[in-house]
Amino acid sequence: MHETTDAEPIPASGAAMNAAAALETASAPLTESARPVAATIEAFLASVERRAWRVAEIALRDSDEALDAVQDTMLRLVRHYSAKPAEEWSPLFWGILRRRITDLQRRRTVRNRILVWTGRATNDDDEELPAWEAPDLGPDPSRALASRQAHAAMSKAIRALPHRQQQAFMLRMLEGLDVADTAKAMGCSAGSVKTHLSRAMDALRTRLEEWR
Amino acid sequence: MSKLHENTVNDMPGDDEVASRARAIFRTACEQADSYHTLRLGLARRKAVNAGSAHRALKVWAPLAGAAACCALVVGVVWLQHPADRLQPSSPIAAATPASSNPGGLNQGDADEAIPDVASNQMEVVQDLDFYRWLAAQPAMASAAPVGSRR
Repeated sequence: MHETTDAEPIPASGAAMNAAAALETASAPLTESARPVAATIEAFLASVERRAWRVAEIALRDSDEALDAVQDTMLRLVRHYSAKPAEEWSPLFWGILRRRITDLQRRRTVRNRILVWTGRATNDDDEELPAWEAPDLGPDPSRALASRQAHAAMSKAIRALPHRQQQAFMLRMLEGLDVADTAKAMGCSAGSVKTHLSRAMDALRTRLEEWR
Repeated sequence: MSKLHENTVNDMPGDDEVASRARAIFRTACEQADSYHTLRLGLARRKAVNAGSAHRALKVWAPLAGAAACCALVVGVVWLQHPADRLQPSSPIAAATPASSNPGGLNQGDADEAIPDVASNQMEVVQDLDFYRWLAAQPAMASAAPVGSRR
């Protein structure tokens, strides 16, 4: 998977930079500053835990591993950064989660290589394993099913992106962090965030029909 | 929709739609998380918060406990390196060994060596110290006495 370095901003074309600027404005209503700042660390975690789990699930393709990643992230945030101002919790949390996801992905890669050497590898990259799901007791099961299918299609489209574009899209578009916080969470410059996001949007635009 | 927002959408046709659609799908997926995972997330959060409290308490008490342990260690080392200081001149044993009561020719340093270590298991020797001193003085007294005086 292609991953660009964070040390210097990626040289981008004029169109890409214009697109980045456009995205900057288009996503303004969902910026983190629009959300109320949590008073306590527990309230912050309660407000972010489901989104964090979904983001980790998209990146890791495994609900249980996503839960582990979110739990580790919560522990690290509370242990090391709970004394920080509440405004800094969000970029710190997402930065920790991003690194945790990267660690788990690398570990999985190593494990798969070992399994290939030992001849016990299974190719599950292109197929979704059947998973147990709780019975839907909601008022409109067909609508819930459509939502799940749309989420699965969107997750598949996001997973097809390069790693850094995935991160930029999920942090910036789905979680709604502003550019500065996204850059802090990704450990790169604001220019890199805009470029990654612009390229991610270019790739996802062609897949929009699959989400409908 | 604001004018600026309209211009943005016109500049990048489809981007705003992609973003809003993705957010809507994501929001719905978060709201529809099953009860099993929601419960586990809540447990993980509570565990993290409790661990954070314990960690904070540990951060407060660990330096104090460490300092106390260091002090105890220093005191113990000093105590073990200077065992002679534990026998003060005012102690009963030291007071019982004046220089004048040493007719056998033992000086003060010899007397100190002759005094057993209180910390050891030689308390009987200490209790019979007068007897041993008397015994040590006997040959000198016998050799100094005239032969005719015994008769």
